[in-house]
Amino acid sequence: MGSFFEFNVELEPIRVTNFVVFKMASSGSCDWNSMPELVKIYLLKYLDGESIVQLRSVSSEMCRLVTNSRAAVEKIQICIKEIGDIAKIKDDSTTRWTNFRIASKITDHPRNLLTTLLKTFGAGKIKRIGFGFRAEFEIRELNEIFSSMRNLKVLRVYVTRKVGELEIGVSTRLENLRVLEIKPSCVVGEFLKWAPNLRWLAIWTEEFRRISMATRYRRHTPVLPALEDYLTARFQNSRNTGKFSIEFKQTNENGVDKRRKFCGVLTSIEEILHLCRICGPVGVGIFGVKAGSFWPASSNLCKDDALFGAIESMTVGDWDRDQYFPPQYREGAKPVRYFVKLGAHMAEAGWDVWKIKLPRDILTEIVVRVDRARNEKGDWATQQQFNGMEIFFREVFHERENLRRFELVEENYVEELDEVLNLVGNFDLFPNLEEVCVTMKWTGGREMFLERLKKLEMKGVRVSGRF
Amino acid sequence: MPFVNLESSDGDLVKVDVDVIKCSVTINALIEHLGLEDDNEVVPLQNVGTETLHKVLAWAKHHKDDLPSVDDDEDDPPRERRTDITTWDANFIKMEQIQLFDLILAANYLDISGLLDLGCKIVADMIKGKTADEIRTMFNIVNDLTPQEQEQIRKENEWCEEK
Repeated sequence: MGSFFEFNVELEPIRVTNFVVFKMASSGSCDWNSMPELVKIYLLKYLDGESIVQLRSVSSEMCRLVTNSRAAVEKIQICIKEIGDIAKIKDDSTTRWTNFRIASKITDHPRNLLTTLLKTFGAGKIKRIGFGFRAEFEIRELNEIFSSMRNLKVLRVYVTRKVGELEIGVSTRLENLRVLEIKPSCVVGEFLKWAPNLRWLAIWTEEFRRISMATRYRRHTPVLPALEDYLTARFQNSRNTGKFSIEFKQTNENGVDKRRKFCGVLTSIEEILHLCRICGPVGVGIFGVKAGSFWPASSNLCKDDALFGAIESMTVGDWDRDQYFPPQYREGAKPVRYFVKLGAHMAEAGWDVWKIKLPRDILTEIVVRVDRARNEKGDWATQQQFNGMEIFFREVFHERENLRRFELVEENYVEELDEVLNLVGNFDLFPNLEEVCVTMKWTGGREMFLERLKKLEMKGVRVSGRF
Repeated sequence: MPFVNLESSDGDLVKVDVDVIKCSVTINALIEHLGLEDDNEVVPLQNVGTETLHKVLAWAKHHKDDLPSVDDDEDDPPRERRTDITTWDANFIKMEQIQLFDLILAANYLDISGLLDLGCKIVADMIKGKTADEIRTMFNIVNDLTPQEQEQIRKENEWCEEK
């Protein structure tokens, strides 16, 4: 193995460029044209809309490939900002666009805009449609409009609800609808009646600073009964379907406010347990569970793999931290990534993580991103917060037999890491460690950690990063 | 019949456990149709070189006990994250681009969906985030679009971006 790790006690920044995990070796030449067309089309499946847009500009063959692939065209999202755009797009292009996003700041009424869109492109041709947050509909309007969109596969919509609309009957069923993202959560029940074959349901929920406010909101947001009815009706005689997942998304409109908030839908341990009891046995995955409520429930869930397996990812505290626990990956053969981002409020992160109880040590990869140790006012984190980080590191880096990869990214220099990193010294606790990737802003005070990394590399572990 | 002899396009014979190569629909079909009954029978693979064949077999051996993959719905946004590549696969697939393409061609010819998926994911990762120019350079593609076509695509691409 080539040695690209260097340790320098002079605190000279060490640059290691080979830190991209899945980086491909460069090639002298390779002939794209030798690839069968079917393979090229198959490859488009793994590209996002943005990449497909780039691909169209590469050559006439690529352009033809994308244009002829209905699935690829579906991924390209066309943004409409006003009614006038619709005719222009239709007239200026021969491509049959099927995926539209109505911009957030439209001036036209969304109903008029959508009606024009349907008339111009054909209601049956439109496969995906998403609306900006400000394009809200009333349920009555939606009922009329979407009844003609029989081939719709993806819908992201925001609804206003007026008193008196509660009992509106459902006149249509969108049999082909696979993905539904909806806000607010109080209308989920109605929409589930429209969509019998969903694969993915994303529910936007509100967050509250006080648990009492969350509980009050919850009383008017009967999500769980609606979900239970839907799941029971759909999966009554099924086992391990794995064909349906639910994601909880929390609004975070006040980006600056990073204080802990409470989710308005799953406010209690009992509700999470209940949801797991419904979803677990039929293999329905739950994403985005607010972990602040989850941790206390985790020890109960861990006793029952079927229930625990329902939770696929969680959002912890105020940061975008997800933990992945897909049950099929528990034996460590597949990657289970624990991703955590630490910021100014480390105490919460530390305490939350400290409570994690992982069944049979399923983690194969840990990624830690440390943003900063100061809060918005520029104050240093308190001693308590520092202790939280220390607890976090002790918890996460205890004996983990299946850990294959560890990545640490320090986005800003965090003085507190000096001592904490030296705690992550005993790599012997990870007998199957294959790769360590560290990106640090400063090496001073971390000599012990670096020395251990050097020893790791001598043992054959791949060490990369930038420090 | 626990073993089968595979003959690469270079004429080399490679003896392989049938259990290992059962992931290949093509080889399974050949074994069935050719009615191979003893260990000395040879399955010719005219489109796969020896080096690539060894690579394919290494992959097949490692994934011998995998459960059949479930088709992910492309419309499941967060499920996309499940397509993470395992450390073993990531290490396995680190090769020259030309070898990677050969491997993809072999996976396609042998009809090994897991390996084809892996190769395509890697190529897709290579494409992601790149400009049209960078993609051309990477794959040695000549830009044969006329100025009018380029202008048309540029105009259409503007609709895809949020201003």
